[in-house]
Amino acid sequence: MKLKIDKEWLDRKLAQADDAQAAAGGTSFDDLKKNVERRIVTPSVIAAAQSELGKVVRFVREKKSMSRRELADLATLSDEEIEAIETRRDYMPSLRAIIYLADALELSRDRLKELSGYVTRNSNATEHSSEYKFAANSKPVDTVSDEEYEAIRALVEVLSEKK
Amino acid sequence: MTRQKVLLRHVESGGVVDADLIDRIDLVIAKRAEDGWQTYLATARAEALAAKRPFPDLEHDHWEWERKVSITHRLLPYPTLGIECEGQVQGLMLLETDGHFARIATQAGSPVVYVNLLATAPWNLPAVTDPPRYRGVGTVLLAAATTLSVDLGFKGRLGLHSLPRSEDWYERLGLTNLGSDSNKQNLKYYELTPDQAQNLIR
Repeated sequence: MKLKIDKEWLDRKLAQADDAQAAAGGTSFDDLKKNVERRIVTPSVIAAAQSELGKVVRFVREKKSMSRRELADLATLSDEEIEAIETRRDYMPSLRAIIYLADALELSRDRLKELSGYVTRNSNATEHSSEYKFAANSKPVDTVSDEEYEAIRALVEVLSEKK
Repeated sequence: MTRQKVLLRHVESGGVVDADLIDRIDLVIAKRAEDGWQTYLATARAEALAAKRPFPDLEHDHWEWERKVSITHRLLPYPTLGIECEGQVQGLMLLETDGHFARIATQAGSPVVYVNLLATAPWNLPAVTDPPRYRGVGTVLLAAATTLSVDLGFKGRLGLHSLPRSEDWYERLGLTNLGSDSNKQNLKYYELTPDQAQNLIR
């Protein structure tokens, strides 16, 4: 980008429009962070995962720029297990796998266990867990809606709170 | 990070001074801006309080440049531009070059360079400092962003949300006002067409 600025140009532009109040956007750090996240973890990436657990794992893995192999190594799980968690709808990982995954992705163990169905739910727990629920896809789609994307992002945030 | 020479107007003397236009600022410059601007603003506030003068309500002073640059500086679609003069950061701009599309009917759907943030140092704001130090910071940054849009093949197309007090400036420069945007705190959205871009750079 080459710009040619001389005194004549500057004088003329400032005479046309005084830039004493020049400002735009005012975007907050949190909004910018969401914006950046959306580029790294695109809605179509999220659509590829078939379960809530799969979407969460894929979201956090992409955010940390990890490959499946890298996550598998970090969590001492096999590549096949990570792939199954991320892509299969009815795959039920072992409790050990959930705990290793939670540690590797810096998520709350208890909350990830609950998301995966490992916590015995009494009536209160069921009510509590409803905040984790969102419309699951019945068939594979290319992308997810803004609402679904936001729901996954919010879910990841809840799971990230260390408890 | 590259630098090129530009000019700013020194308000008090009425003359022009040499300045650097920086293409892609790094974390060092972002930190220098954040520290310099916050310290200046806090000092000005304290002085106003001591002198029992009212202090203006700024539309935007939670810049957080260091944090914002830290999450974007490695990403290609977030170029930044800055102006430095006499060792101080005079103004900064954060752009997005991907994922934003024109809204004016004649160019709807074509990619635009989107101005995510544009701010000048508080000592260049007449409400804070009288007289302000430099003029031309916003003008040079906007012309640079428009030139970048031309370089990218976007023909100068540019979009932005103006803060309320800046609307007059954008309108005088010939940007098209597309009205309040409920998705962006009801800020007015402005856009530049290729013709308007040529007039702005010329």
